[in-house]
Amino acid sequence: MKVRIVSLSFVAAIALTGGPGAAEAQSAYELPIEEHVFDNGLRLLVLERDGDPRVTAKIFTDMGAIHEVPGLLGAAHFQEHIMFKGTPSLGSTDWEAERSLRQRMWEVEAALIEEKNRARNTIRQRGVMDDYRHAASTPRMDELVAELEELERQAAAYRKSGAVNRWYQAFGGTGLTATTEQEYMKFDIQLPVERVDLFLRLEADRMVNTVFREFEQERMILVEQRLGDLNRPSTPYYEQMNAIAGVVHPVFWPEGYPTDFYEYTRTSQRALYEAYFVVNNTTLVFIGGVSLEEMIPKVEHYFGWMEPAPEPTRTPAVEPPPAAERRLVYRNDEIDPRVEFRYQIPAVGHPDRPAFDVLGEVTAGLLTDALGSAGISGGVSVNTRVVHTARFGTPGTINFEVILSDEADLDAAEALLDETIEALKAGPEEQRVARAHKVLRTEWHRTARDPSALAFEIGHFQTMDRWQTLPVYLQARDDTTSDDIARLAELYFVPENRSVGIARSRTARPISEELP
Amino acid sequence: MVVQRAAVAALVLAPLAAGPAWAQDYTHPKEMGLPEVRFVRPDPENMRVTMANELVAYITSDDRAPLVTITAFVGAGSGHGEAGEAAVVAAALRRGPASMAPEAFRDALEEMAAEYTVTVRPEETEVTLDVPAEDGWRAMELLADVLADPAFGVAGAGGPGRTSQAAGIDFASSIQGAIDAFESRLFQGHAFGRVPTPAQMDAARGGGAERFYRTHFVPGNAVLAIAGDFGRVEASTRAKEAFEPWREGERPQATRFAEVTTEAPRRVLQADVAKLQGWVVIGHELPPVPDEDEAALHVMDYVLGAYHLDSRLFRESREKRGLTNDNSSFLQPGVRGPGSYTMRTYGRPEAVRLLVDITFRELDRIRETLPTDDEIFVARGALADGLWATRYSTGLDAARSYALEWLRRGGHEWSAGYPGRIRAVTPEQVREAAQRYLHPDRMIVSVVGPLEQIESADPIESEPQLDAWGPVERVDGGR
Repeated sequence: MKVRIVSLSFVAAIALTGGPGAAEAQSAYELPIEEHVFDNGLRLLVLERDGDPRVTAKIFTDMGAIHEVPGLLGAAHFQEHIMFKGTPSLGSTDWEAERSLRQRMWEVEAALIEEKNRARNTIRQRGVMDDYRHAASTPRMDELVAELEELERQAAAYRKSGAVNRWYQAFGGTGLTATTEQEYMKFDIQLPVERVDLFLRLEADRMVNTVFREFEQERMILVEQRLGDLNRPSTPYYEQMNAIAGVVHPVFWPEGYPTDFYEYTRTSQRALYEAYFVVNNTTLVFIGGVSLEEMIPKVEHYFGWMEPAPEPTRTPAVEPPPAAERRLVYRNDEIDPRVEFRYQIPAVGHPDRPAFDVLGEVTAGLLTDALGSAGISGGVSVNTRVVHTARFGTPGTINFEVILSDEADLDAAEALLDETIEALKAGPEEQRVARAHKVLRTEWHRTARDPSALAFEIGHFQTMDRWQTLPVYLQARDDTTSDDIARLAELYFVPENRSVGIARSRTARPISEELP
Repeated sequence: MVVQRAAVAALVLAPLAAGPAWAQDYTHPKEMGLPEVRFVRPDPENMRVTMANELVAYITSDDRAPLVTITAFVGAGSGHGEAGEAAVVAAALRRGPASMAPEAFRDALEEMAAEYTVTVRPEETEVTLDVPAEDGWRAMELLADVLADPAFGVAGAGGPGRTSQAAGIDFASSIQGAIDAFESRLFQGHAFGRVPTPAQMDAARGGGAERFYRTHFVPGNAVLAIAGDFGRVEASTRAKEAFEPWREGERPQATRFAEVTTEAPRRVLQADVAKLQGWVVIGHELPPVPDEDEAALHVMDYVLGAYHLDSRLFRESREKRGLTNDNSSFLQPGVRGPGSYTMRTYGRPEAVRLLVDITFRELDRIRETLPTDDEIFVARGALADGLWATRYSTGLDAARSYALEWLRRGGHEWSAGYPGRIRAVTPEQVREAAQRYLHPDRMIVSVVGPLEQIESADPIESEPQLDAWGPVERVDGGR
């Protein structure tokens, strides 16, 4: 009760002193988004900021890693790379000449695929240590691959690099990025407000006419990015944790391995491209000095001619209820020792989901304090990450991680983690909950201040549920109480829903000592 | 079987039909008639406030979110004073004001859900506090207290402010290891390359840092940038109330830092780490750049390799060859002292030698040939309508940009004329800038990676071994 009084006094003090921003306090989560859905299914979202000299523009496609299949993991990410390679009208010095070479490439690749299928017992990889330098092959495959390389070499003579990027930059574009996550791909840019048409011109072209140039080079870029990930000793640990945290849902699958990268073909990539990069699977988001009224005819001009396509296939995977506690021990001499508990939690759209953000923030504070009290040196990370991004639209996990300075503290840290999470079932102090509210609210305001981050959240929510969920979600976090947290802990933090991860050195304690 | 054939036929035919669709607008971007940018940056005179103690602040409303950001730029960094003194001052700033216990300061920041950072660079220190608007006035007072009287003499290394300084070289830590190795040689014996000894740290803690603070951390040597969801008039009043008690003090005389220069022949620095990729930094010093050279240098850098997706380095290394995720240039001028100009890349072991070779090829090319009209067109637009404009497009960005410019130049004529100077750059000036500021014959080549694999890899394009670029020095103690 005393805690509640303190909290109320704090709120009253803000009103009395009339701090900056006080007038807006009641409408902090309002998002004045205007929406228009075109006849062909294209969705347009505009958040006007009158007078803003620039506009943030993003195009979201409802296609990501969860639409991949085993053996071709990472294909969605690869498609993003390929979609930087230009179109017939941008990226070629002589499209007619280049086109005939590319036509031949499709034929050669079809023969290559057929040979590979026929020779599957010859080329099947049986090793466990194959990497990007040791792809299995046959003489005929080598011949066809060489022909493809020669065709690419000839086609490169017509290449005009930097097709999309170059013109964005030339006309004042900044912050050009692309992202592929489990559920979506997005391309984005910030432009002077007078030049928003350029975004529509380039993205409509990219969506329909991408030419799959420099295919082999980009395959190796994926290898490079993968090697970069693997340079961090924590990468295999997190991937293995993902693998035990979920059983069937592709959201738990990794981003692909070099053996996957070798399997990508122009044909398989085109199948993804044609199925998903369609107008009725697309959302445009604009934030800045543009209005919905002025954007509708512009968008109509560049995208209005596109016909809707059959609704793309969605993953039918449903993660079964967890049935047993799982435990992983990862040994690596370079990784900081750590202990982690993961629990599956529901998706956005489920009423329980927003409160997990508050629970996470509260628990991070509790764990930090508990470590200090126990004299254990280390850091705490509580997040809702699976693989490499916040996962909301599909089953996610909440991860409680304690990273230690001394491996000898592992057992104590695990016990402390267990006690802290168990104690949530009694409900945390309201003061901690109030502080978590403020942290989350402030984090959100930092997001809202940055138009690119805000447009990202709007598009993100649209692809995983709908954009209208976002303000409701934020308000629900603010409304979360100590009792709500206790209920969630009771319901979700049960042993059969837990995956425990331990990372430790190979040398400090021999494996034989750990075995029963 | 029939179905399979049909599917294959469809896939083969699809790309044939992938020419421009009938109803799409394919107008080339240069022919779209895109309007000129009308953006006019806010008038700095409408933001500047000069306080009684000579402290200058740029204060402006920014109502995108209920937040307030207060930044202090101070014209003193790790290159000033004795080694270690700036670091000890930074630690004191992180602990909070002397009037509060560090724990109380930490609690105050947590209560405000604040982001608090103290960053020490060779010639400047930046302290930033970002808080909810409801805590804006309180934060202003808190930061003023910290700047006016930081908590020296309290045990412990630091407080909640994040540090941006690396203590030593961690060769196994991504490309930073190669950068640190490069800088350790470029700035060897220079004030910007000092690594304080334990005795120097003791001296700094024993009074040196406080003397450093009293000399350099004075209102005349600092500028504030304050932006947020507030009324500017009230914010100005509050800022004066908070910061005017900071004691007066004359701006110290500008330090004249020694020049640094590399000498021919090139040197190759190497460190062996058991990683899956090798990291490469190639470059040398960047002397202070006169204003008349700057625009051409920026255009040249943009064409060559400035961090974006269509530079020459990027195209040659990544797009055409698939060797690396990135190969970019980093033009890092000093304020009054020397800076550096580096090319940075990384890749699988068998790609490293070719990446070095390609980088030198491109350095030669930009020195010897004129850039194309398209390259100049793109760079001008990117720098004037893009990067320059973003520095002033929000209240927060404009306040920061103006504050830094005031600290460094005492006025805003330089930034006002920047777009015009960029648009006037000619291809010949770009080549001249390359010849004046790029010296491939005396660059330092820093390579950190699995050296045996890098050396033993078969050449891809007849690229030489690393020792062909100059005498090799192992910087990790190995041989």
